[in-house]
Order: sequence, then structure tokens, then C-alpha cells
Amino acid sequence: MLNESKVKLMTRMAMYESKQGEEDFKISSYYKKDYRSFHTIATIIWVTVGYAVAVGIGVIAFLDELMENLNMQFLVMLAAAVIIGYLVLVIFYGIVASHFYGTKHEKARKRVKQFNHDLTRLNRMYEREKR
Amino acid sequence: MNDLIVWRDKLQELYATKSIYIDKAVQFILALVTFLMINQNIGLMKAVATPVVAVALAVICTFLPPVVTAYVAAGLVIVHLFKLSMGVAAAAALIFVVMFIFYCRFTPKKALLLLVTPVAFMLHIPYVVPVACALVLGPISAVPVVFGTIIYYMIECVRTSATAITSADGITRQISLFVKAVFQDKTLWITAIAFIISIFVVYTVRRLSVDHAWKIAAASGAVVNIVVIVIGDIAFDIHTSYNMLIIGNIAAVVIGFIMEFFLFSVDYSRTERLQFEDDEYYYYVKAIPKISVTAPEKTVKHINERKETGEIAGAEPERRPRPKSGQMEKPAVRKKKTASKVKRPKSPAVQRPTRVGGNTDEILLAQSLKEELDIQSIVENELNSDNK
Repeated sequence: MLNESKVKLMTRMAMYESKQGEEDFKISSYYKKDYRSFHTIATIIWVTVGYAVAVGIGVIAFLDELMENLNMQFLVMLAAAVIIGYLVLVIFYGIVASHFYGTKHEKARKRVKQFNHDLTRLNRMYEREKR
Repeated sequence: MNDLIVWRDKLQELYATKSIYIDKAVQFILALVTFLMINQNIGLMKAVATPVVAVALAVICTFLPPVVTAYVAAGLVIVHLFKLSMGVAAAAALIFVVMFIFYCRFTPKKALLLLVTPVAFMLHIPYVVPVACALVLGPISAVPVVFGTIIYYMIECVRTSATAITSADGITRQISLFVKAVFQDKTLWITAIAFIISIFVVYTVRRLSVDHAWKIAAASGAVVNIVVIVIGDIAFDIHTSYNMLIIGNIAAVVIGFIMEFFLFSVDYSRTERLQFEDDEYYYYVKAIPKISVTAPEKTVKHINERKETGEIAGAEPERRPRPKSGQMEKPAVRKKKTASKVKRPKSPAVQRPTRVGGNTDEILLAQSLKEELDIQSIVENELNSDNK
């Protein structure tokens, strides 16, 4: 005899496992602080790479102008602008990444908790059936 | 209005049941429109710029995650630019890399937003995007919207100044021309600034607890778009088409209203304001009920053929077959009033079967016996009195 509530529960769990489960289990294997820190650092590294690429494109595009105004004062000002821009970007993305990955961990943890709760319920159902 | 709400609920129900197919269809259409528009605007590589290739790519992208569509679109742009100049293609590839680093790393599932903005530009409704994104998503959607705007102006730049780029001697000079043409375009920056401000304004107003917040937000977003672009037009002399600006923003408001109808349909006339407190806070709560209309149920009226009285009296009542165990019973059709339940006048010719049935005779017999016994006891009493 089919147990409808058991089938529903198992379907829900299977759907979760196939969709978000894999990523959620990976996320929830970290502590929130570790997960957030790790991804914030990774984001900062990626932002640095991205910024370097953007500055590189800018330098190639404005190479003629740069060569024309090549003096110490101009170079110092340019370097300062590039560094300030980098710091602003890194701080912005650091804050955004920290918040984003913190929230992501929280949500994943909540879903995994619900999954574990469902697992316990399913286990109880099996035990009841055995009796 | 009620009909519209019922229709909306039906649509939502349909989406809930068929969401897999609808999502895939939307993904396919978006991919196809994007690839066709890229081919139409910068279809320099003739082998790739055919509709067959666009359809094939769209079909493949439909069965892959949404972010793949964005990657394929970027790849297609790079392939076309490669025909123009290797340097320009490399510069475009690096610009895409920067975009993916700054946006797609976080939310690869929403990478399609990068495509929506250029497609909206090509359909002449770009102002819809910031309003819609701010209503549904959040202020962070400003990043993909701005990137999408840059992609559109990049395509537009190639379309308009392809000859100038190719005529330049040396890869470095070609890259320089291309990057300058894209990023020194004042229209790009004014549009991007208008979109960013519009997104922040729409998002802020939408979250206010004023009545009709979504409508006000959509309208204010459109006003911000118009005002910023007109100011930019006057200050930097960028020649914007005012007709398109106004029509596009009217479309944005209309789309905003439609989105409100589907996503935030509430009845402001029944707003309730509550006030209570606990140990730590005072609460001022505004509760607005959602509009919901129950769909009228269809009732099927069965009118049985009138049978002869003799047949009714003699016929055995038809029994419903009991469903076997494990077999699902067919859901019963609700009958409003069947002919068999209609009251009929009692006729002496037809004796309706009573519930007690066979007990009637017993009751009558018992009554007659009781009467006889009573008579007997009366007779006995009288005889006894005479004897005395």
C-alpha cells in the first residue's frame, strides 16, 4: 500500500537534492565565517585581475596621449588615480561579497536543516511501518 | 476587474504547472532574438551570420544553463569582430572578461540580464529595463544593466564606425579607436547614469509604505529617465530623439503597471493600520490585503429523461459500483439539481416505498392486538362487577 505523505516527502527531498542540494551541502560543510572570508578573498583577487585588465585596455587605448604627456607629475597623478580607483572598487566589492556570501551561507544552511528534518521524518515513517 | 484577476490566477496556475516548458521557451526566444540581432547588426562573418546558425545555437542554449547563453552571445560578438580586426576582437573579449569577473561570478543564474538590456535597446524599449529590474530585483541589478548598455553601445559602435576602424593602420591603433569610440561616447554614459539613478529611485519608492507604491515607483523611474537624459542632452549636446524617449518611458510605465498587477496586486481600500507593543518595541503595522477572487466553479446539470411511473415503481434502484482497493475513484461531478430529486406530487396510483418497509404490517398487527386486549380487559371487568 502506498503511503501518500511518504511519497510527497521523498519527492520533495529528491527535487531539492537534484536542484540545489549538491551546492548547499558543499556550502554548509564550511563554517559561515570561513565560507564568507574565503569567497571575499577570492572576489578581491578576481576584482584585482579584472581591474588590471581594464587598466590595460585603457593604457592601450590612450597610449598616444600617455606618451605625449609623459612627465613625472602626470605619471604620479595617474598612478594615484589608478590606486584610488582600485581601493574604492576593492572595498565596494569586498563589502558586497561579504554580505552576499554570508546571506548565501545562511540560506543554504536553512535549506539543509529542512532537508535533515525531512530525513528524520522519513526515518520515523519507516520505523512506524516496520512495527 | 474580477475577470482580469481570474485570468491572472489562471495564468499563474498555468505557469506553476508548466513552468519547466515556459522557462525553456522564454530562454529559447531570448537566445534566438539575441543571436539574430547580433547577426543583423554586426554580421561580418557571413558563415555564422545565417538564421540557421542562430536557431541551432538557440536550441543548444535552451538545454544548457542560462549563463551559457550569455557566453555564446559574447562568443558570437567576438567571432564577428574577429572578421573586422583581431585587435578589436581581443579588446572586446577582454571587456567581456571584465564584465564576467565583476558580475557573473556572483550570480551566474541571472547572467541573462546582460542580454536583456541590449535586446531592449534594439527593440527601442531600453527604458523598460531599469524600471522592471528595480521593481522585481534590487539595486544590484544596476551592474548588469550598465554592462548591457555598454554591450549595446559596443555593437552600435562597430556597426557605425567599422570602416574607420579597419582603415586604421596597426592593431594597437585599431584597439585604441574602438575603445575610444565606445567609452568616449557621451550618450553611453548619460544613458548609464540615467539608468542607475532610475533603478535606485524606483527601488526606494517601491519599498515605501505609501499606497500605490509600485505605480508611483514606475512613474518616477520614467520621469528620472526623461529628466536625466534631457539634462544630458542639453549639457553635452548628444542629440537624443525626444519622441522615442517619451514613448519608451510610457512603455516602461505600462510594463511597470502590468508587473504590479501580476506581482503586487493588493486592495488599498481595505488597508488596516494596527498598533501594538511588546517589552522592547512599539509596532505600527500597515496591513494591505491581497486581491484574490475565487474562480466560479462550473456546475454540470444532468437532466434525466422522465421515466414511466410503472417503470420507476418496478425498477430496482441502480447501485454505484464500489471502487476496488488501490483504484482511484473518479472525482464526482457536482450536480446542482437532478430531475430525480425534484419534488413530485403524491399520486394514489404510485405508492412510494417507505423507509420502514416490512415493519408496517407488524406495527398494525400490534396495534390491533392491543385494541383487542383492551376490549377483553374491559369485558372482563364488567363481568366481574355484574357477578359482585
